[in-house]
Amino acid sequence: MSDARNAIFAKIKAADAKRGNASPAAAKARLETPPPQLVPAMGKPAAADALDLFIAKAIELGCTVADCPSFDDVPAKVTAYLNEQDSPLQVMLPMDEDLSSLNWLQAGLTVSAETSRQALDGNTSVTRAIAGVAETGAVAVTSGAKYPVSLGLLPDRHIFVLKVDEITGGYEDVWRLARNAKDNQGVARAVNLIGGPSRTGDIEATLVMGAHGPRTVHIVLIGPTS
Amino acid sequence: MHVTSKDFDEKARAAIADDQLQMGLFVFGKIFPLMRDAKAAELPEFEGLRDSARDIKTNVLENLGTYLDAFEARAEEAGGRIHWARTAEEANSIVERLCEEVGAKDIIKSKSMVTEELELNDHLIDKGYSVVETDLGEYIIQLRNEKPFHIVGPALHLNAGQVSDTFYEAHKKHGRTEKVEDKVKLVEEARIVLRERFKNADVGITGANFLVAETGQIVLVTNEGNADLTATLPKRHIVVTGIEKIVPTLDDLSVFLRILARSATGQDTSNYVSLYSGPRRARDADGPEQFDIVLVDNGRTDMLGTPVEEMLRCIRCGACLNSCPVFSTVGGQTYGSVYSGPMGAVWTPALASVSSAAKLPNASSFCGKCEEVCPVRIPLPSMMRHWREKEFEAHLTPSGQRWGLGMWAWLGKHPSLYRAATNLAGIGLRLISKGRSGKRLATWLPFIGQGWTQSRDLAVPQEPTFLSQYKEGRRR
Ligand code: SF4
Repeated sequence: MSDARNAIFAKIKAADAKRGNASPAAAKARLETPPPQLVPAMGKPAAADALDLFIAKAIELGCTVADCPSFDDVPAKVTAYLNEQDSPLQVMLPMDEDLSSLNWLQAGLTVSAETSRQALDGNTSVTRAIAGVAETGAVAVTSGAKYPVSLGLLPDRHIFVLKVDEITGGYEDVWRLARNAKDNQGVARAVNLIGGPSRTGDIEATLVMGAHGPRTVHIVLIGPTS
Repeated sequence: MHVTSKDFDEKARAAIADDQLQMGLFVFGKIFPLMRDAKAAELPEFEGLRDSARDIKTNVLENLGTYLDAFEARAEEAGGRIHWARTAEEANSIVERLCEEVGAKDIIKSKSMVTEELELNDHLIDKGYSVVETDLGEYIIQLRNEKPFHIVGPALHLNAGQVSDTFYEAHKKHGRTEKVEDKVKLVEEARIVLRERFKNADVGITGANFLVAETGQIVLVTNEGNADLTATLPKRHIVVTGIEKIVPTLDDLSVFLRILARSATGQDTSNYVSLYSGPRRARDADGPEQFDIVLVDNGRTDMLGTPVEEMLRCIRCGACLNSCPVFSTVGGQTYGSVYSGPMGAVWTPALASVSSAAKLPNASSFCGKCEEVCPVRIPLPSMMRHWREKEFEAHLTPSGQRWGLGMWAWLGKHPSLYRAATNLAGIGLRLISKGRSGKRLATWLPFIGQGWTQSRDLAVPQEPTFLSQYKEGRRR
């Protein structure tokens, strides 16, 4: 143990003795079985409302959303979006079965699985998310082979593929998914909640999109949306 | 932490005379509080969440050792390394050593108040590293060699023209010879220049908004996503943060996420809310090879068990600054400390010293607005009062003020003299005052009263005095 660590803990102990409210057993128990906290109604919408709420909030955050009947239709939806954006018909994909097995060529798209910084910079990426959060409109992703974090950060356009039944209520639902997905090293290295395009308000408090990360975030939503 | 709070008075005068700054401050002091109030009103549970946040942090401070211990164990399981630093010097040399280990040259950094407090950039730049801030506001003030204006908006005191001048000078060496003035184009220019830094940096340094004891994760909250690029691209990610940032569990974290952005910028959520633990794993396609967390004390444990312990609940949202009539009149630079406004008036004396920051707890109207908006319900005015008492005990109060207070106390103990003196003062005031719309105002006072009337008028008490009314039984 380092001297610094010992010294810091000694001071904490001294304060505990003075105050007399420390309860190590209760604190440990809290970590083992996290007690639920106050969850606002917004964070636990009725199942029937979650989808509409998610879409409304995501749009508020500056995302665009497209309906898509099934996985097979994703490439066509991506082509339509890129044409609308006047962007090259090329997409960067992660090593994800869900996505790589689709017929991108047929939809007129070139596909690349390259993940070098240079290759990603300025391009379009398509990734899968673990959840859409109705409370805020953010999309949740976790790092791994299927989602290299830089794929969601370096390209100019980021397209999420999300299933309607992956839409959850609030933060608590994301934590539940993250805890369930734990491996022997704990939860995924990165859990990111992404609420639309990168933005800044640092110059004269004026909102400007496209600060460092994607300038646009598009959500392709699979399943019956009405 | 270098503190220049002694010059508060002169800087305040200059700030009040600075028209451009005043315009910025007006927008700021009006719009931000309005946005906060609107977002808080949209969430019926907001007040309840504030109570929960306060209670969670109280529990954390009472069990800090247990939670830090658990955090350390989980973070190490995830492959991270934990380093402990008692002081700024210790923290800075740990970071320096970590950069040396990977043979780093180029460092990118995302905004962190703790590293401002440690003056980490100066330390690393002195040692020959190139350190570039990536939060746009922080990048601008780094180029201008200034301290942050506000803990949330470091460059909000500048207008687009000033930013344009700064970029024009700084970006010439990146081959950008055209001067841009439009805000969108300024952001674009910073994006282009910083992109290259992101792609080529060896080390990324971030702070942490929270540390989760349950899982060993660090939490980063930004709108720009710059912290995520900093945490993802370089070989090594170094997190530098204060030991008080801990929350017990992910459920507890939700409470803070729900109040932070609403209090800070009036948003439902920040754009990027990210939780990181450890270096890249076997199945990860990217991420840093090493992940280090430097847990900094630097005066925090000295606050435990004292009347300012509750200040350690602070989540650096800046709501107290936005709502403060003093901050929104003089601006952040005036405070001479990285922590300004009401929160700074408590943090700065605690982390630096009462003597170097004596002016700050006095730069308050004690209107109580800061406490009213603080999402973790820190009783800021009473903590400022605590420092004022300390300051008085340590004989740091200006002599005029001490003399005046001493005189007052002495008079208070001699009721007949007190009555005579107040009567006399009343008569004197009425003699020198002018009537204005039914009220009498003194526009000029002698002696120490000069200080008051230099910048405002004094309302003259109505006749007759309370005591004489009382005597005549004219109580209402
Ligand atoms: S003192 Fe309260 S209001 Fe001020 S920055 Fe800290 S948490 Fe926010």
